[in-house]
Amino acid sequence: MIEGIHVAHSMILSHQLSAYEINEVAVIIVAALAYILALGGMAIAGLIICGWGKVDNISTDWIHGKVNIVCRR
Amino acid sequence: MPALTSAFQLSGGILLDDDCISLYRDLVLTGQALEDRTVSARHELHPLAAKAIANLASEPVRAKTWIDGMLGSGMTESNVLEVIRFVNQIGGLVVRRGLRSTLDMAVRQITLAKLGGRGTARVYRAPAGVRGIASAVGRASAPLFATAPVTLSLANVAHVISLQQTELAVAVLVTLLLSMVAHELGHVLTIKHFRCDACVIQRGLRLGIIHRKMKRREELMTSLMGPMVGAVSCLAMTAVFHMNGFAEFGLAAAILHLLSLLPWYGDGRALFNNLMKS
Repeated sequence: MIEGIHVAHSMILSHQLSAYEINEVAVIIVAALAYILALGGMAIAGLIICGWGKVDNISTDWIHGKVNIVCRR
Repeated sequence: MPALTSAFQLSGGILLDDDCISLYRDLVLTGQALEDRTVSARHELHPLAAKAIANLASEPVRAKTWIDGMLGSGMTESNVLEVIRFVNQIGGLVVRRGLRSTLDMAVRQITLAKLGGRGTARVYRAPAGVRGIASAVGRASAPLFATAPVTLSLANVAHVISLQQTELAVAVLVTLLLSMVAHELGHVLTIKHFRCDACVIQRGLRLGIIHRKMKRREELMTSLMGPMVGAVSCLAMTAVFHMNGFAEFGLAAAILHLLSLLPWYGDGRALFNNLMKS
């Protein structure tokens, strides 16, 4: 159901809102945003630790939530 | 006629003065009632609300003019807000807004959020076809489109992530977006199989399908098919993108789709509500 609609208003008397059946998918977009934010976070961490253009390699272990940042000498 | 402060203020953050608005085509005003043909709902209206919606239904109108007209007809500011919020919540407002106004709205929303306020999200409704679903997915993913190119480009230019990793990230995002379209198509095709009408609804990051109430078995099938098709499409994409590490992402995305079958969320809630009816 669409949330936030009140059944009775002073200007509108809504039809039974159970008529509005809704299937939602927001978790995928949130996951995609989280992925991009994680990449952005890794990028910023790499820049802070190694400096601009000095990152040699970043490897991620998504399962254990670990990131390895290797800097160039 | 009372002075109009601003459409943004009076609409609870939904409209701007220069927005060109009209009523969604599936909503039809019959006498003092607003009929929603997609879901066969009938909303009874106060005569003033019916007059206001009739103005919207006849032709596209400027938001400021529409709100001015409502205030001029004797409605209070709270009545105006109530009508706008209601029409918005059932996805009835079709808003045409230029790029400048879109940026203006974004700035206003951010300013409002900084002040601790929260505007009402505009509800976008579209026909349940591939184009409508893709458009709704695009709108829901707007924050992603705004952040992903900047993040990936900067990370790549600064040599923080390699070109290979950037390609992988792009492939993951493309998979997620396409799988969302597939997920919604799964719902829509099932609903259409049962000869029902449907519409796509997008509100903020939320995306869904509204449809008329169907038989219990049909509702169950509809709720199940979206996540199943979404999950299968993610797995199928692993066959398209042969990249190192992509298979794990494809599997994770498939699991994400199936997670929407959990009982406290979207499809899962609809599924369990129907199961509990037995």
